Amino acid sequence: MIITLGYAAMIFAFFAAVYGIVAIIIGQITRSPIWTRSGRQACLVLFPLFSFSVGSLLALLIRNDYQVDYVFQTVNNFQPLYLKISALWGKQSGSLLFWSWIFSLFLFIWAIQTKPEKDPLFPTAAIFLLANLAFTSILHIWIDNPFDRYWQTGEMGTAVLSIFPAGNDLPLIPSDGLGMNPLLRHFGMVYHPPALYLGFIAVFFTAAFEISALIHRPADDSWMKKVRPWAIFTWIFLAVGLILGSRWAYDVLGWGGYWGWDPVEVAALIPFLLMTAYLHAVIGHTATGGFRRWSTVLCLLTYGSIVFAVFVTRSGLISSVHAFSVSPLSVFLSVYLAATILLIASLIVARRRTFGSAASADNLDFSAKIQTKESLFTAGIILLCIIAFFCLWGILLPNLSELFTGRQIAIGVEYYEKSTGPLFALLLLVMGIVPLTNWKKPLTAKQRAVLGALALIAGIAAVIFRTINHLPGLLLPLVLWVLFFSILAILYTWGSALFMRAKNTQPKQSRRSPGLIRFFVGYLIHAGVILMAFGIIGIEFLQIEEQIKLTPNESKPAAGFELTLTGADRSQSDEGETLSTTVEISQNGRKLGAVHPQQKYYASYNQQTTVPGIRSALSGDLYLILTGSESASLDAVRTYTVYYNPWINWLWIGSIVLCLGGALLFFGALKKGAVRKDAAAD
Amino acid sequence: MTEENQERKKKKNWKLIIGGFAIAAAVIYLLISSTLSSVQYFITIEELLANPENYRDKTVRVSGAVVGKSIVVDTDRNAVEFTAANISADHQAIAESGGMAAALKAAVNDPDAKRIDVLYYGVKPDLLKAESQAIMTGSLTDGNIFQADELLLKCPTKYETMGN
Repeated sequence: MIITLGYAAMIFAFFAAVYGIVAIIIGQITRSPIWTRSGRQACLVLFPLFSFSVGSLLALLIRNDYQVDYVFQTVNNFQPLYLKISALWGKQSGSLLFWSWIFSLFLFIWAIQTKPEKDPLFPTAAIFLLANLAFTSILHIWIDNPFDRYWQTGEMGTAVLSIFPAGNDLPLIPSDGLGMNPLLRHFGMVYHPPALYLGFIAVFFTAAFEISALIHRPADDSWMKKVRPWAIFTWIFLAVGLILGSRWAYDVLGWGGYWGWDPVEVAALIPFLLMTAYLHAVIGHTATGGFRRWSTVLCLLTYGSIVFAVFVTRSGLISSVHAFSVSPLSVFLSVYLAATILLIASLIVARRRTFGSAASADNLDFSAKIQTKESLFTAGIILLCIIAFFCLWGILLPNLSELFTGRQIAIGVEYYEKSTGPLFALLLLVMGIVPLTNWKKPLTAKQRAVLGALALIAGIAAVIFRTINHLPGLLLPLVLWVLFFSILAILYTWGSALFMRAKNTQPKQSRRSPGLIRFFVGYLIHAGVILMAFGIIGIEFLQIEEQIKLTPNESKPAAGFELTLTGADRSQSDEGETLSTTVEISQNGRKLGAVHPQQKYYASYNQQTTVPGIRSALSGDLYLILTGSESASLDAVRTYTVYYNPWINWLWIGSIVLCLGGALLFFGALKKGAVRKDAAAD
Repeated sequence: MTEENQERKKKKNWKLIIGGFAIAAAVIYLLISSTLSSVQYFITIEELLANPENYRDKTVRVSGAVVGKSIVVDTDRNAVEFTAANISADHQAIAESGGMAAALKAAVNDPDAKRIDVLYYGVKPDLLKAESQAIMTGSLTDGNIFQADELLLKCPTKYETMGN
């Protein structure tokens, strides 16, 4: 019953989306507001319908209804509730339905805020959004249906998979499911995919405004204010999704460390880079009236990169640890990607003359012009685009080579490190200079002096830091110099802004305070990025790796610590067997606590997973992996691989700062929108 | 526009063009040099063993089916050794003949399939087990042992349909 209802709700939703498209088109052709309004109703009804469908699948998962293949594949009798819930996006078909559901939720929020009669951008934007939603619906209704069930057919009782029984088929109900893939049985599965989906899907809404504006060319720019909360929301969740995935990969062995340059990771990084560039173009546009061309093109490219990321993850055509296995969806996704690229390309070509910018700072000569803030913004945007292109190249090259030369090639992690590393360093440098520049004006003599002084101080600090910490080489101190310089520039800017405010008590100043907050928050995000860079530099340049063998109750040195194996414990659970060892850590005779490196064996998948023991500190993490576990006896000698990851926690601290800054920016944008609405009502 | 202005504009354009070219050249150099230094050929075990001299001391990527019984963990040297059996590089053919899981099983059970011994220094990956697909990046050493610097594993689920 519940299966039929959940399935039916999806089908109703699909036809509602198709109806919505048709109604709006009729409304536009006949200039009939009733039809257009009816199309808007279709946007609103999708969310309840998909909620019903998602609710049904969730109920099936929680009730362990194994007749449904999706439940059989993702849940077993012992799975805790949080993993049953996250099983909703544990496999291809369910995650597509989940995608449609989030999409319909956003569509609901978007449509309720829009007045179709007054908003000239509504019809095209709604058609674009409904078409994208209808496409994913097709995939999970007709191609890969999460509600497919097992039936026994014929005299032999062969199992078949379909939504409804044929003839006298009897339901086939397995007694236990396979459960989720052991590598996914982690809390990360609860938060990482949904966070990324929120970001991915919100991009469609940002793009819907831009595409509609590009086609209809509205006389006023007021729609740009409405885009901003969507754009910031997208950016935050792309960042949060990447960061949470990175943390998950760090906590569980088998995903390859905090960042592995896996094609799917890279495919999710590209939209984040482009979105960052887009937001800077929007800021530039607000400040100078320029950057219109950049913001339009970047928005369309971000949208394209999202579709590309979906293609990379789901088509199974690109090999990766994240990819769903080779799927029947690949043909459909290829068509979808081709259609998206075609749409973007034709929009840009057809409208290339209409979205030009009012040229700014044209009265300056070249050497003055490159000192302005808009030049640095442009440099930053170009750098982000080049990095995004290098990432794309890394994903495509192996596939292009096969297509054109018939030879399969692969490119390793070094490609990404070598090609993007220098560009990221340049980007950090630009981030440092930007706070001390002016819109439309070259640097003042004072700003030049301050920049020089900060560069000098940062240089001295880097030299001192290198000596104290006995750091190797010249590259690392150079990178540190850039980091110190950038962070000093931000601190100086904050300091001088506060000082100016304290000195200037005129009421005139208080009217500008929202700008001041935005300025503070913007650099807060930059500060977060710089802290993250510090953590990444630590693990990339200074990681120590050692192998050790520990005899029980005997202390041994490793990576500057003394380690003692004090116990081992073997326990059985419903899922399988766990071997947990206890290793005491001390340094210079001082006890620092114990960690528990483990190995878990999952019987139903014949799969072992390794859980590292991590001792965290601001100066660095000690990361222990239990490697040899063949011996059954509990007092056996055990081998460990020990990593020392200096500064890595600054990556997580920086991430929190970045997300905090993003959240403040988002609420600021919402509030600003509301204030404007009030003003308009007056 | 006055003459002076025009002249200034011309001058500026030249600087812009030269600067643009310099940047583009740097970007292209960065792209090509980092691509060339990290490109690896993806070949099958059969291809590797047919022409070992062609590939000696070159970094290549090979994919093979892991022979379960052959996995040995040497904790003294912190090394893992196993044997990998040749599988076809033709994804289409694999899909048509019953999927990756079946292809891996067939490769391991086929006595005629070409095999190589693989040596990998490092932690034994969790997914290294019988009939998983190993994607190994490394080079063939003198004793015809493949020394893998990087070892990626994939386990196609055997339960793609419950029917069997």
